[in-house]
Amino acid sequence: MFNLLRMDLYRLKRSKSVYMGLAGMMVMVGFCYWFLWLLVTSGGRDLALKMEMDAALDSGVLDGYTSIMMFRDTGMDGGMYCSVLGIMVAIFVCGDFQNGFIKNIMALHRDRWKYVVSKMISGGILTFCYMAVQLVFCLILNRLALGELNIPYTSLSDSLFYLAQAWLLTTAFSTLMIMLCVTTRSMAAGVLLALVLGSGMLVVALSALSGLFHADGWSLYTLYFNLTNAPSSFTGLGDLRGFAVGAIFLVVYGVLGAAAIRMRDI
Amino acid sequence: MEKKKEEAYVVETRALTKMYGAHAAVDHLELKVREGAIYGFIGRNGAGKSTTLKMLCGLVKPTQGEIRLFGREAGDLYAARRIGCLIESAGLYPSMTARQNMVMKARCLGLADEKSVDEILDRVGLTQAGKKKTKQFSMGMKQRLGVGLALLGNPDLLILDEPINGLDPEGVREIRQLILSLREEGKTFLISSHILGELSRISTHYGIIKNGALVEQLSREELERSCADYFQIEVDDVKRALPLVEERMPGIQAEVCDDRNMRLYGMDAGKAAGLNQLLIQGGIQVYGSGFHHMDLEEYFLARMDGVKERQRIANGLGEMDSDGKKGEQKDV
Repeated sequence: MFNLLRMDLYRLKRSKSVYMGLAGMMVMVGFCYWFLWLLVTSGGRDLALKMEMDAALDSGVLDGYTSIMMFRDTGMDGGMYCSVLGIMVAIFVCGDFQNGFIKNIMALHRDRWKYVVSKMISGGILTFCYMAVQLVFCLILNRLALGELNIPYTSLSDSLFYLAQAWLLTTAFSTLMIMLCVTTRSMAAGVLLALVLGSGMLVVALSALSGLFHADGWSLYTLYFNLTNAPSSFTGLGDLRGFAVGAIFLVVYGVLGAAAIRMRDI
Repeated sequence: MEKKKEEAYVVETRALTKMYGAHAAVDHLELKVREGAIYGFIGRNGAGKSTTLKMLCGLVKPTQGEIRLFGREAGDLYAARRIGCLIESAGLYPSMTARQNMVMKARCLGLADEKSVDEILDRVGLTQAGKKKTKQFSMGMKQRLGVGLALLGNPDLLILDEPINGLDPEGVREIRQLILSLREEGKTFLISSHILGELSRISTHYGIIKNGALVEQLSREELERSCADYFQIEVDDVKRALPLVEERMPGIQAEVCDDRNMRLYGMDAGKAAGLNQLLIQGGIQVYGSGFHHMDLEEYFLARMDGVKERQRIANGLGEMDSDGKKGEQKDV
């Protein structure tokens, strides 16, 4: 299995789409910061007025914000992160099937579950790298663009609590995508599912629908809601729900993915 | 002794079957490939060749039956590592170079040393490809890289499905020479190809598959015996010619094709001259005659068309053949 992982990491390192996805996310984060800068800083508001924009917000809007909250609002929450991650996973997994390299892999590795586990670990490494780079980028922007607002750094323990939770939930989401991709084996279907599921479109729609019947409690146990509403610090056992949901879905989707690839011929 | 005999088979299948719904793509196949052989696997499109090869490579699960590779169960990891395969197209990452694709497979194999990658690239003539991405490769280059990928890890058995597809004559010759040189190193080959002329130049054994079942499995020597020379003669009335040949030319086997043509086995030039004279004296007009030798293609087509073993047909004309067709000309 580690041979497969070595192969996957070699490919990830050389995949342009991985860097393009990261660049896209960083552009979005940069845009959010720029927009915020325009609205809440004196220099930004002057520029906004010159550009005939309606700068209605004042600097008070960022009261109580910490560095991790900025990272969440600009990079993680809202579904874009998962959508991009899902698309990367779809390209990564479906590419094997689309170009036929899967034949070279499966002829050597008869235990097919190893393929899924290797991809899960790769997905975990990918989301770790994405989050790490984005976090560093956010911290740099905090210093550069919003320095005059003095957004305080989140404590290390709270930062690690949130990041670990987000990493587990996004790894579980990438495992969901792996499961769907080994089932459909279609890049188009994979990308579409990444957009629908990663953006939370499906979960939000179903939650709203079931809410009409006061039966939307299930949505508290979805990856999307747990990532979006993840607590920023640990205050009690209830705050560990995100970890539990992430871990359970990680295992469930991993097992389903392994079963899906075993059931069908290559 | 029995065990030793069994070990000599690199590939052995027992009642290997693959069903897709009610359709049997492979039907109780009993394939036996000896160590060191170049086994030509022949069959029409959809006959079950690729499905069989995929089952041997572990890509398709058999519905029933058994596969033994190097005397071990097919799922055995040790056996799997001794196989190199190229099934249908070479699976390549289009945005990677030939070397990067090779390194990917090398890592998949767990090879720590990338020296073998360069050696194989050199062997399949792709050293010059450099930084060219495989999406810019010609069909022939892709096939060569596919063969190169199959060679990684120094496998003992190479399963190649249409390895010379898309190659130019020079490329075909290079692959042929590569296969022959690898065989000298003791490697075994299981090759399927539609280019029967090329296959007949290298194969030591043949297996003919039809509708998922193995029609025949024979060595090159057996094939040559089966393709023995025959003398074909066209006369105005076979019904009269046949008894005359049988009576006056003992030891000659005759096969009637239709009411004007028949084939005679065991003939030589002297007997052929005597036969012509004999028929003319018997008042039978001879329109044409000549010696023929079947090649692999003719033999394959004959087997596909259901020609049965040569038989002497004393009163064959007008009888129904096994397909229920009357007096049908066989395409041999």
